[in-house]
This record gives sequence, structure tokens and C-alpha cells, in this order.
Amino acid sequence: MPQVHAADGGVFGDYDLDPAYYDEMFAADGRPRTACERLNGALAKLDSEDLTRLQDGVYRHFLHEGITFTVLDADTVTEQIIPIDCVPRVVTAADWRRIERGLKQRLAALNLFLKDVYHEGRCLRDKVVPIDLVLGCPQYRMEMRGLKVPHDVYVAVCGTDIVRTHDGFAVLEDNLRVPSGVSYMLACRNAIKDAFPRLYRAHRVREVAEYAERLYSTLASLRPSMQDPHVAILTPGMHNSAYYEHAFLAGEMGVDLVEGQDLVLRDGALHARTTAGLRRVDVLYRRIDDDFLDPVLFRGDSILGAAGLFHAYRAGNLVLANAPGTGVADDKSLYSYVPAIIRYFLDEDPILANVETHLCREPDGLAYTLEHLDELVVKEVGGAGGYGMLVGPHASADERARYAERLRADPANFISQPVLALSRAPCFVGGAIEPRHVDLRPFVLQGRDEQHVVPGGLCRVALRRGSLVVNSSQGGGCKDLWVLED
Amino acid sequence: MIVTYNIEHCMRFRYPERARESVMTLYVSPTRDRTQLVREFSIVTDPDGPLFDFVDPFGNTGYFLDYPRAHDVFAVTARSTVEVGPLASTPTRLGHGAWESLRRAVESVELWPMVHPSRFVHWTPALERFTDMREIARGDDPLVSARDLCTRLHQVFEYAPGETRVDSPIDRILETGRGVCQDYAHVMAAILRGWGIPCRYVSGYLGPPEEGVAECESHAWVECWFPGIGWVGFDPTNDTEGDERHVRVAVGRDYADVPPTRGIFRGASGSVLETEVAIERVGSP
Amino acid sequence: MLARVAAEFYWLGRHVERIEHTARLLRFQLTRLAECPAEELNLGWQAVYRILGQPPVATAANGDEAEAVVIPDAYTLAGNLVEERSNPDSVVSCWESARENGQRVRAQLPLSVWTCLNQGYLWVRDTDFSTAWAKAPAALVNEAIDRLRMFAGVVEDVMPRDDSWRFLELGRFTERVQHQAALLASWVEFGAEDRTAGGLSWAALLRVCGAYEVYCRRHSTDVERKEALGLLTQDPELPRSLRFSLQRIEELLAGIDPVGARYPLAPPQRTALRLTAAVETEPSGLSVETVASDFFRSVENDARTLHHATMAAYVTHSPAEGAVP
Repeated sequence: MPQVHAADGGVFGDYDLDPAYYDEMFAADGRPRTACERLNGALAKLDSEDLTRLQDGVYRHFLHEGITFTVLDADTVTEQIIPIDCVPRVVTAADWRRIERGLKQRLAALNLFLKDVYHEGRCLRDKVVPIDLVLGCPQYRMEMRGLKVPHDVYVAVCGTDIVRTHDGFAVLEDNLRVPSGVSYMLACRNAIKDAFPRLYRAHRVREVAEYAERLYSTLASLRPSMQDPHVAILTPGMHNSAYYEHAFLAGEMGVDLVEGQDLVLRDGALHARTTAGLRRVDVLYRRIDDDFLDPVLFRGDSILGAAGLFHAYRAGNLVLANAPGTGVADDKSLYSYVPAIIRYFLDEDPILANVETHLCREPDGLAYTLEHLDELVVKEVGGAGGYGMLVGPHASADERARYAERLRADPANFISQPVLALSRAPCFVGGAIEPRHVDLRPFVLQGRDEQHVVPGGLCRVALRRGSLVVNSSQGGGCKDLWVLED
Repeated sequence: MIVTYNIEHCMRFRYPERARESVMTLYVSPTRDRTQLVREFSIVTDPDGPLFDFVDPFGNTGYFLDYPRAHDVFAVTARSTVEVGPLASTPTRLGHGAWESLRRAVESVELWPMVHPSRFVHWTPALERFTDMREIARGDDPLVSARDLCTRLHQVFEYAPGETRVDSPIDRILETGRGVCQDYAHVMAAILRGWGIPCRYVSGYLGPPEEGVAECESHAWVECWFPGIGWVGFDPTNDTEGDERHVRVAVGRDYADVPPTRGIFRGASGSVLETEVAIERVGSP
Repeated sequence: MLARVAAEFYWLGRHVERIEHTARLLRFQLTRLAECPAEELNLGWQAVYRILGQPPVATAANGDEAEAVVIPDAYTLAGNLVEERSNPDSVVSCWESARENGQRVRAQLPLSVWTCLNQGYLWVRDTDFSTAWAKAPAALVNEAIDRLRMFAGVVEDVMPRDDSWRFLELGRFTERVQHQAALLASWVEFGAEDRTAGGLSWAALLRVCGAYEVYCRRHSTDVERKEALGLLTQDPELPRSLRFSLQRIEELLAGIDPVGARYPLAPPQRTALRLTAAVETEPSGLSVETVASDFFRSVENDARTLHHATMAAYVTHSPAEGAVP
């Protein structure tokens, strides 16, 4: 296995460069990529103790600020700190430009797609996407049919998972419902800035701190009237795994963080209970699932939302970001049609590639998947968080057999993809720097008139050696992403 | 023929303890279209509060109200004067190739939901046994099949108020053979959709056959869509096609889409709903 | 501000104040462990438990037993007030509750305030009580009080004087009035039983309330009952006097609800005003034990009424039925 030509070995001493994977820091010949030279040089000067100290500092920063996510395990609730790796990942300006353009294109097309499937359904009639796939999707909300969505913005906030292989960047998943992770991106940046103040400045890294401001102006731009809108974030409460993020964003934007119990309908509009009486809410950045929004219309047993909320929305008295029913566009089986959707609605070629996907709802796809179960990653179409998936090559024969049974029982619920050779980036683990698999979740905002991609993102790391699962609930961590200025 | 009705639909909610923050949607206004002329319509609530109308995804007009203050009783009264008819007569059969044209037509955004399962209308093992045992199967012609099915269900089921509830699944009436109009409609829709005929649930009223006033309840039946004709009503409870006695209020995939009233309030559970529907058939001038 | 958020701030204030109150009483008791005879300590524990409204704990120790028996018992008694999670008023429970209140208003809480609260919680959570006790029992309580001081300082320093601060302070002072009244009442009641024991002297009362130095400057080192109670009741400058706290409550309420501070008064303002009046007019006969005890108990009750009135007026809006806020 080729070793890296790091200045003098040091913490990079045991860094094995596996040619099977694209390495974010080193080129195939073992030399640091141009954009990473400075970072590599700086890290190589540090020893294991320095890095441990920096890593501890980052950890303490998170601990004291209580930057945690909640894990529900059986019936106990524990707060955990998301593991942060102190080695930043560098993305060049040129790479970022491509990602940015690709994300904007993708979101524009998906918003047009959503408008279409909730109105005349041209793309279904023209058989761009199978009608069964869309109208039969559990995330399709009949209630949204024919409803005028303010400025046709169905998805205002989107988090797209992007991976890099030797073939370049590819989109793994769109998150169009309630994407999370942006607060970790911001917290991570603060911690890393503290750890490497000089290095950070020398790199001319693009700032991400403006995110909250951008989010606010995006939400406010969707307001129903010209008046100054009352924007609020709707959270399921402090036991939700992303509560820290909800509170963080509300604080940064200076808006109310409301729970269902704070909301009440009056005169067909949504109001929040304040100490001085009811105050109307104009824009709700809701961080709860569709099902829980309104017990009158959706799940009657839900106490997370507000009774009649959907009426306020339907009547145009309230803006919801994201709109209900956007899940139909980030369903994992719909995913494979996104390139076609981009071509159909924008008449452009997709800038970012998709990952090859087999739909088990189709007989060919099912047969292929069952035949190659040991080579594929199989996912549930509605699944998230890395739960319920099978990583074929890492699973035992027994696990595969059990999974195959589930597949045969309900093929439409599954898709499969080849095991991706996710790129690897240097991480400080157990006293040395070693390569670990990473992905990337940038965040895209769609306001009334403009789109914005935050120059950064949540870079997730599979901290377990050899693991490809980056979800924080499954032993993943994250690291700072440095998008460089031109 | 045109028949005029005066309809008064009262719903009174009584709460065991004071309720607050009532929120309600209502489907109580007769549909306005080619065959239904709504001369007058009003809703009065007690206590009085603002009322908002909306159009739902199926084109129905619904009403919404919220009442934040504390209350012990909430009453809604909807009054309408509506002229029904004249109705076009339906052909005896559709003719050659009808199944094939149906199959193509249901690939549209509008019809797709009406040939696929919904909350109350879906194929169940009990329905499979029911149709096998009674040898209920589709015939050569979709229209004739639907008409026959309507008659069969009327013969097979016994009308028995109180046997089922508004949220009973179809398996209940299939087991006992007893139920009300809503159960008849759900079973008929489930079978028709299984056959590939688009079928929707209709919520409305059944007017009296003669002049005069009748105390009755809301009614429910189904409508099927056929190429070249459009929606045709079938009332399995009364073994008739939709006629001048049927006053349509709302259509949906099933009851869950268009209940006359649906709502939520804060307070102790166990509210009681009293409903009275009075329909007067007015003599022709 | 959101009614729920206001309530969280209010409870945050109450919980923090409750910790301080418990810690102060514990410090009083623990500093005497080394020097006091068992009998007196015993009385002290009974008083502490009564003041805190805790169910009395049957003590195994009595005057005849050796000191060695008293100490482990004191360990249990103190432990119940410090580390016992099943006791909702223990220091650790209150800190946990306070942090939870803070957690629920993360969006409105300045980061440094939150960090301070969180660090305090992490400290209390990770402190091993038995080890700390073995080393120096009083040091533990002292650190708790220091951390509360720090929290109060950060609040004072960084929180804007908006409604979130007002509700936090309102909670603190409402809790303070209620607890101080209970403290004074209990002290008077215990005094009636046995004042010969030096532990529950009027000087000790002043020390618990951090008012001993002030008293000495104003009067003399020879502490008189009437003057001591008068100081703790009526002094407008002493932070733990009833009058001082009530004045703060009035100001805070006026800031929260300027309209309710004018006639016709909103229910919380009316209650607060009545309480102030009661405290300001020299309650006659404070020298008679039963009169004094009744008086302080009535203040304690009125403080509860004030709490309910505040909740009803700004959080639940319940009595104004129909007038959904």
C-alpha cells in the first residue's frame, strides 16, 4: 500500500493510501493535493499530544455549550455529543462552484416537480415519472392537491447528501422534509476556528456564519403580506434529537421557538400564546413531520402540531417551510428519476450525477438486487438515519437471508445501490491521523426570488475504521468543511 | 324533473366539561353544479363566531371555524334550499372496449385516487371471501357490472343503524351483513376499485319521495366514472341510481375525506354529538 | 414573549433560588458539625427540614450517643438535601430542573448564561457526594453557592433587561419571599420551644440570611429578636429582606405588564401590593411568638397566591375564562 509523502511522517506516519478510494488530502502519488499543502504541512508539524489537546478543546467546547443530540434508547433518553474530528476537510473553489450550480439546478427542478404533481401532473401524463410511484407514495399529500403554495416554493430549506468517488461528486440523497445538521456545521466551524485560528485565516475559508441571517431572509421572503412577518420555528420539543439545532437557529435568527402547545387558531389564522395574549404567526419553519402538523387533518393523536394549522395554511394566512407533502420528492425510489425530472422541467443536463439505483418495485430491479445482495447497499424507500439498511458486503450470510425475505415480502419498499467507494479524508483517531470515509451535506435555501447555497456543509465521517455509515446515530461524527475562496 | 328541497342540518356538540379552542371543518353545503341549483345556503353557529369557506382537493366546498373561548355546547345549523335535476339518463350499457378505455383513463391525476385503496376503501381478505362466496365478479360491461353490484349488495346486506360506527372498517359489515349507508358505499367502492372502475364516495342527503317534511340523517352512496359519460351515482342502500332524491354535498375517496363534521377541542374527552336533519320536499309551483 | 417561555424563565429563577436557599441552610448546619453538641445539631436538622418544608426525618441519634453516630446520620440528612434525586427539592434535582428550564429556552438564553448553568449542572451531576463529604462537607455547599453566585453574576452581566430577565427575576424573588417567610416562621416557632440552645440564636438566623454584618453595623453585636426580625422583614436595602424582595417583584411586574400596574390592578400586582403593605406596616406584636409565626406563615401563603396569580395572568390565562388571552 503506498504511503503518503507527508513532510516527515509524524502523525501521518501510518496513513495508508488505499487506491480504491479517492483521498481528499492526498493525490494518488501520495503527495498532498495543492489546496491541502498548507494544511498538511501544518498538521505534520504537530505531534500526537498537540492534536489530542486540540481535540479535547473541541470536545470541551461542545460539552460546555451543550451541543448535543438526543438518543432514544428503549425508554431512556440520553444526550450525546456528536464526535467532532479536528482535521478540516478542504474543498477547492472550482469543486464548490460545480456543487453549488448542481444543487441549485436540482432544487429548482424538484420545486417545479412538486408544483406539477400537486396540480396538473404533466410529468405524470408524459410518463417522465410513473404515476403509481408518485400518487402511491405515502408522502404524497392529497390535501396539497390544487393548493396554491406561496411563490411556488415547496422546498425552502434543503440538505443534499453528496459523496465523492473516483468518478467525481454524486448526489446520494435529497432531504426535502426537515433536513437537519446545519447547527453542527456552524458549531463545528466555531470550534475549529478556536483550535486553528492562524491556519484558518491563512486558508481564506469562506464564511458560513451568515446562514441564520440567510435562512431568516429566505423565510421572511415567503411571507403572505408585505408587513413585517412574525417568523417562528416549530419544534417537537426538547427531547427531539435535533432540539439543539431548533433552539440554536431560533436564537440566531431571534425568532420564537414554539411547540404545539403554544399555538392556537383564531379567526382562521395561527397564533402563539404570549404573556400579553395571542400573537399571529405568519411564517412557520416547522421542524416536525407532516403527520404531526395538524391533528384535524393528519394524525388525530398528535399533540405536536396545532389543530387547524392546515386551514390557516390553505387560507393563505400562514406560510409553512417546507410545505407539507415534499417527501414525495425525496423518496428513495423517486430519487432515480431526478435526472429525468431535471431534463424535463429545465431542459438541462444534470450537473451533479446520481448514484446508480435499482428499484425493487420493478421486477428486473428486484431480481438484480436479490442476485447481488452481497455487493449492494439496500435501503428502505422511506428510511432515514441509516436505519433499516443492509450493507451487503459487511453483512453476514444470515443477515442477508433475513433481509432478502423482507425484500420479497414488500419489494416496493426497497431500492439498492452499489457499495460506493466513498472518498476518505484524514481524521485524528486514537493518537494518529488515519483515513476515514466521509460524505457531505450542503444546505440550499430557496426564497421567493433567489437561491442560496451556504459555502460549507455538514461533513460527516464514519469514525469506525472501514465503516461506510456516516450517520451520527450509527457511530458517525463530523468535521469542518473548508470551502476555499477563489 | 326538478325537485326542490329545504334542508336543515343541526349538529350539537355537548362537552362533559367546558371545552376550549374548538376547531372544526364542515361539509354541509350542497354541491353547486349543472344538476344542483343552490338557491339559498346559510350556516349559523351557537355560540356565534367567524366561519371560513374553502375548496378542497376534490372540488368540494367546506367550511372551517375556530372558537377559542370556553364553551359547554357548540351548535351548528346549516340551512339550504336546493333544486335537483333534471338528470340525464344513463345508457343501459357502455359497449365494446369499455374496460380497455377505463384502464387507460385511470392513469390521470384526477381518477388515480379513485381506483386505488384509501383509508376505508381497500381490498381485504374478508372482502375476497365475501365476493368468492357470493360469486360477485365483474361482467363484460363496466356499467352493467356496477348496476348489478348495487342490486346485489342491497339484497345481501341488511340496513341496521347502530351496528357499525362512522369509523368501522368494511370487514365489520362483511362479517355481520348489517350496517348503514356508509358501509354499503365503502364495500361497493372497494369492489369497484378492485375491478378497475373509478369510484368515489358521496356524502349528501336523501330527500323524501313525496311532498312534505321528513326527519332523517345524512346519506352516503357512490359515484362511478365511465368513459364518455362521466360520474354516475349508485345508491346500494336503496338499490337505485343517483336520482332527484339524492342531494350531493361532497365527494371523496371515502368517508374520511368528507365527514359532515370533524374537529378537535381542548378539554375532557367524551363529547356527545346530536344530529338532526330535516328535509322538506316542496311541491312544484 | 411566548407564555410557555416566560414560565420556563420564571421556574428557572425559582429553581436557582431554591438551590441557594437549601445550600445556605446546609452551610449553616455543616459548619457546626465539628463544634456543636449532638442535641443541638439534632434540633438544627429538624429546623432545616421544617424550614424547607421537607417531611421530618426520624433521627437515629440522640443526645446520649457518641458523636460518631451523629456524623453518619448527618451524612444521610445532608445527602437527602444534596444528592437525592427522588427528592425534587434536593440540590441536584433543582439543578437538573433549572437546566431543563434553560434547555427549553435555549433560543432566548444568552450562551454564557446557558454555559454557566450547564457547567454547574455537569459539576453537580459528576460530583461524588460521599467523596466530597469525606473531604470537607461544607466545601461542597460552598462551591454550590459560589457557582450560583457566578450564575447570578453572568445573568446580571449579560442578560438584556427584557421580559426573559424579568420573569427569571420574578421567579427568584417570588421563591425568595416564600422561603424567607417560611424560614422566619420556623425560626420563631423553634425559638419558642428552646432558645437556650445557641444554635438557633437570632445571630445564627442573621448569618443564614447573610445579614449579620449589616445588623452589627446598625445595632450591636448583641443580637435582639425584635431588631433581627425587623431587619429581615422590613429593611429596604437588605437583599434577603421580605420588603426588598417585594419591591423587586413590584418593579418586575410593572415592567412585564405596565397596564396591569395601573388601576384597576392586575391580580398579581394587587397581591404584591397587599403583601408589601403588610410587610411595611410594622406588624404589631412580633414579639409574641404565636403572632409572629402567624404573620410569617400568612406571608408565606400570600407568596403562593402571588405565584398562582402570576401564572394565571401571564401563562395559563385561566381565570379570565372566555378572555382567551
